[in-house]
Amino acid sequence: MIEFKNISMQYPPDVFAVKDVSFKIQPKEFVSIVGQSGTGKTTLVKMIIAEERPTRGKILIGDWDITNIKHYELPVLRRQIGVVWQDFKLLPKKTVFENVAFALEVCGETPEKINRVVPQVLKIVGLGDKQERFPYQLSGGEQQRVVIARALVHRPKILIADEPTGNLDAINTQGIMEILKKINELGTTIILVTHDREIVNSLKKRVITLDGGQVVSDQFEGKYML
Amino acid sequence: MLLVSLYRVLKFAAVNFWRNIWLAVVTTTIMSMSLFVVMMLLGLNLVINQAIHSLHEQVDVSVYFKPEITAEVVQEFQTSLQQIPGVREVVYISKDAALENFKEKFADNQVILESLEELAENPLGDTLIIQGESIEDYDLVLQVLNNEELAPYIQEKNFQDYNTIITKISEISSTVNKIGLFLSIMFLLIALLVTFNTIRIAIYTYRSELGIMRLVGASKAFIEWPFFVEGVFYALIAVFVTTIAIYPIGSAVQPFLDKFFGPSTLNILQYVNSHFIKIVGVQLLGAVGISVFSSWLAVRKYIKN
Repeated sequence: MIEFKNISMQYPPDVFAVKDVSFKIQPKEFVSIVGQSGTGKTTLVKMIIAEERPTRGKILIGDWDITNIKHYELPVLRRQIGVVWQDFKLLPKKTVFENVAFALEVCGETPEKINRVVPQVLKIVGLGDKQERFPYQLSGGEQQRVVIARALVHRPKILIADEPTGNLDAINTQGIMEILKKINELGTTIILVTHDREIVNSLKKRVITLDGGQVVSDQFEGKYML
Repeated sequence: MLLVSLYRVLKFAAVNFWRNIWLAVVTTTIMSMSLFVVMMLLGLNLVINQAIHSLHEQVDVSVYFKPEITAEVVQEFQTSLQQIPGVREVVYISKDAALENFKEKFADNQVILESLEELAENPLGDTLIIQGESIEDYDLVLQVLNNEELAPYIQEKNFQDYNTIITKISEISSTVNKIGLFLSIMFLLIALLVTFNTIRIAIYTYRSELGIMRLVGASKAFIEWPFFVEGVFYALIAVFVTTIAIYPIGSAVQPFLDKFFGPSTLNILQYVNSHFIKIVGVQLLGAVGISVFSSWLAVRKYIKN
């Protein structure tokens, strides 16, 4: 379970990126965090992977308080969470296979397991025949699929998708959302951060709405309200 | 687990190196040139030291004895002088040999030769030529020769002037050595800075990737070590290229050294071969050290926590 307890992120003197945010996300939930640009959605995502630290409050993942996580614990945390970024964040000098394998290599998996698992995951996302390509040789939709493959290859309990379809066309967007739904059905908690109204409304899942850094709505089977 | 990690580090380093081959070529070229400058400075120091040593060897003190002093007495002096600490050799030249040398020296001067013919006897006495181990050892030799007890035996003293020359040569040698050392240190620092910045610039191209690797869950060591190993690759290649380059350059320069110092006096390639392990070892230590240090500093800067 992910729990945000009275989380605030303040920039001096009195600017709040997020203010007094509290919510719980249960295992296997599919949650959309929505809001207009600048409402603190990405800040919340960054806090879950400890890329940003809150100025007040607590963040718990399971029983682990990650609010003031130590530097040497960061890799351990991030290996348990998969993240899909809007700007992909692929390693440009590594092939598709190597990008996905990297997530297993940092976990210390053996070459044998990597050679077995990575092709399977790439097949799931529809890139089984493009393992030796480099990111610059792929379309935007294909690159995002590689990112998804990398995010779930190490079977994380939590997958965060921060505007995963922001740079994609409608067809690719639909494809990506289908993959995320499938992953959630297999038992992974999904946190989708988006400002795409149509995606949110079509999902019919829990929606947490942010406005001005604060939670203004938290609805199961919610809709995009703003 | 350790073997797998080692395998991964080497694999990442090798793949990085190959996929950025032009960056690797540029980096190793610059490192090679820096190492080369350092090697040339060492070679120059070697030549300068040899030049100074040759100059020292030209210095000697000649003692001309009066013609009436017998060879036995002079040879007794020779034995005593050889016991002085710092004296390398004392050469005895008989009066007859001295006369022959004199005639050879002034072979073109008919006036001197005819004057010699007029004399009934050999006007020259026996000579002792004293050579010291080093410039500094002549002080003691000169002290001994200045002893008043020797005055009745000695015809001519040309070693008084040598005092000034010897002192001057010592000063010049010392100054040249200091300048050589200063220049060597300066150029070594420049070479180090150039290498340092080259490696940092090479890693600068990876800056966004380093951040991504951290976000995916890679530990600092997992990210850093392939760059250290890649730095070692650069260093190994640079040392190899520099060492290979010494041979044709040494061969090209040798004829000039032979002409200046005389054959078999200073053989660059022979020196390199006899000190091969030391030369390559020091280069490797320096190049690997600076590479790894530069990589560490640069990677540390770009890994975002």
